Amino acid sequence: MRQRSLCSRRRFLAIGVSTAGAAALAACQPPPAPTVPAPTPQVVEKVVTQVVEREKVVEKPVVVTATPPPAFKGAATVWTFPQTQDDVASIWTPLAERMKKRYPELDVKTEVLPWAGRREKMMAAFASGEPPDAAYVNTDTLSLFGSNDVLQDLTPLVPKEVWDDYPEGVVKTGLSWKGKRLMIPTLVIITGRLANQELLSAAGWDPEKPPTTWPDVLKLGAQAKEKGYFLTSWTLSDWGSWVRTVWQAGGTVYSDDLTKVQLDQSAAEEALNFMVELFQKGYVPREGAVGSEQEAAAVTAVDYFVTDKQVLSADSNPNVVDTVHAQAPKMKYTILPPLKGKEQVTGASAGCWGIFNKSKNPAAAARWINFVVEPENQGFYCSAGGFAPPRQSANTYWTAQPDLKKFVTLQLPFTRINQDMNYFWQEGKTTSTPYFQAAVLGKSSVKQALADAKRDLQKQVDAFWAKQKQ
Amino acid sequence: MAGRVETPASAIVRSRSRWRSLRTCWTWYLFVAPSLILFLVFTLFIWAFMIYLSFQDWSLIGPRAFVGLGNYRELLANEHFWSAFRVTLVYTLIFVGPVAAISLLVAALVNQRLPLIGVFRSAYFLPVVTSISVIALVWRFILIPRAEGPLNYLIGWLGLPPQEWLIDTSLALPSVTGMQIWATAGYYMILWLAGLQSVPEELHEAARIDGAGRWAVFWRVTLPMLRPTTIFVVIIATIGALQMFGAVFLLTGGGPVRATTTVVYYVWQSAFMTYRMGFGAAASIVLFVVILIVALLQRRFLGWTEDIY
Repeated sequence: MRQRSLCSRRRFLAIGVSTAGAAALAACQPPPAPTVPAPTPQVVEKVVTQVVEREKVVEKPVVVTATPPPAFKGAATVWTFPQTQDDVASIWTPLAERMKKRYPELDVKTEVLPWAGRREKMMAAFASGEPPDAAYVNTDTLSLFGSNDVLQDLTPLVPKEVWDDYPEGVVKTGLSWKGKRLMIPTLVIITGRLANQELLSAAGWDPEKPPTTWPDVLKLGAQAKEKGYFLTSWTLSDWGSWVRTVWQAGGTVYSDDLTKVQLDQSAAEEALNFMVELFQKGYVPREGAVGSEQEAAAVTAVDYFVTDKQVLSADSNPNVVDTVHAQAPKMKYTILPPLKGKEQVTGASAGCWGIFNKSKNPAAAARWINFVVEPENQGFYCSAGGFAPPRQSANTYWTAQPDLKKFVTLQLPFTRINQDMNYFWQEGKTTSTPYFQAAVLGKSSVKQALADAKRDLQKQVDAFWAKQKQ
Repeated sequence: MAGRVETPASAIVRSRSRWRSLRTCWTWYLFVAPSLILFLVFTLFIWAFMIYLSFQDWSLIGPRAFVGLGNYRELLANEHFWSAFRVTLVYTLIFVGPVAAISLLVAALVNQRLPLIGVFRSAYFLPVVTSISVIALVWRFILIPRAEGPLNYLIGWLGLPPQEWLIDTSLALPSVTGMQIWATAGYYMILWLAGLQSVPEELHEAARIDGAGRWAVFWRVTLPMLRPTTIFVVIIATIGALQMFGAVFLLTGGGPVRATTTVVYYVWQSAFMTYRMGFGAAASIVLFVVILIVALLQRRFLGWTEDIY
């Protein structure tokens, strides 16, 4: 028997179409214009912070700004990438609890995404018009995101005294694109090396005076090889290692104005000769010559060092200290300052927060960013993640283990951030690695390899600037 | 003969009949709709968008600019693209034959009624369901370029000197191919196994009664009966080989000195490392055309016809 329906088909369709139309209209309506907070410092307190500045420790009073309390309602989505084994438990849950006390009605969803393809994920989300409100961004994306207007200028969204609390070099060179500060640092990644004291002794080297110059390192390499050890490990596709080596040779990869690739200069030649010598004389594992940065590093960078087959660790971020403590707890090691060619220098890059230009909740995102870069929260974040806090006043709250602090403070006076670290990073790496491989494997001369790399890379740099002029 | 004349009445009748058929079969359309929509959105639209992109200059996030055939012209004049093309063809040649033969051999071995045969089948299939990242990490260890590397240790027993498997420009591609054969043979084994089990036992029996030995039975009865499977395996393996990416990405990063840079790896580098989406799309289209031609040639020369079964 046919039952009478509650709603005729025609009526059902009419209601359905009307509802869908109304929903579509509602969806097309632009979101309400965001009101950007004008953070007015209310609490000012003096904290005496030890700040390491260029080989001297200075006691400096620092102004700490607390963001104004509640009365802010909003929601935001933030993308971040893992810094620990479990970021949610060790970083984001505690920070969310702190934030809840300050802003009970600010609802921030922190999504921890895998590192692989992080740029592509952000670019795709931005291109689709649905990016998160804010994200963790490395300074290596500065030229890409800056030239495509992906991120908002944070200058008016973050109080001046907060900017003033960052080292000048970091803010000046690392975060700006055409005068806009697109990123605010949350951590600094500084690289350095450890030396295995037992292996130094076994190789006939005074463990109290580990090598710090290129000639010393090569000399140690010969001695270590004789005893069956690797000197260190090196990944040819690690652009950061290349950049730092060129600096140590007294040059830069790009000109200051970023228009010229300087791989034809003597510093680049010396740097590549140094790398070629390390590989061809067998001082470093040969497998570092091929493979993507991460995969090569997974096999070569840590394993041989923690298994007592390699005298010096690879040029690594401070997490190498934790790795050694976890995997080779009995190892006695010395923390080395950066190597010296013509110059003794290492590099740093900054992990930052940025707000997307297509963010639907920029006010909430700005509020959240101001919260997480507060000294106490930044100190907590960097302690949990094993990094150095870039804000000077955050040092007070930086509770990293002593060796990790020592690692960072030892490198800091020699640390440089410049155009090489922040611009054309992917392009440089992708273009140059095959030519570096050719030189290291004896398939071409150092000069030829550098000339070829320069030709290809310059073409891309020229195309980039040509597009900028259009 | 006069053509059929469309009258208004017949048109109405036809239209009514279509409407009736739609009313009768709407559930069928409903069931087909999800996969049709998925196909339209995730295959057809993307494919059409890729063709459109290949005529554009685009960094994924900036404005798009029409460049006509510019990307194609640049691509065909680009030595690195041709190098990647050569590598891809060589890889395809040294992958397809061996993987088909090895997987057939394994399938023949596990096509027995023996105790615990399921364990062997699972073991051979295991690499197929293992993450390529894990496989690559293990193989980087196996291929350590010194005497203590597992593979070098093994060939040392044969009196051969240690090899720099992934570092030597002439050995890198065969090494990647070896890993890929190991990783995928299990999949083809399943296809062969299905083929082998569909061959009627009566044919084998008849051949044996006629005095054929094991080898003759396999060569003269089993293999001809496996023709449809053979064609399918060869075409699928060829298409897979021409699209090689994962193992290269994880094992060698396209090196050393571009010795393992395949076309798809080159596409990925162009699109996502140097942010040239249009150029990458053009390279993809060229690869698609090549795959299409190769597949059509295989279809023709291997005799893929409707009556193959």
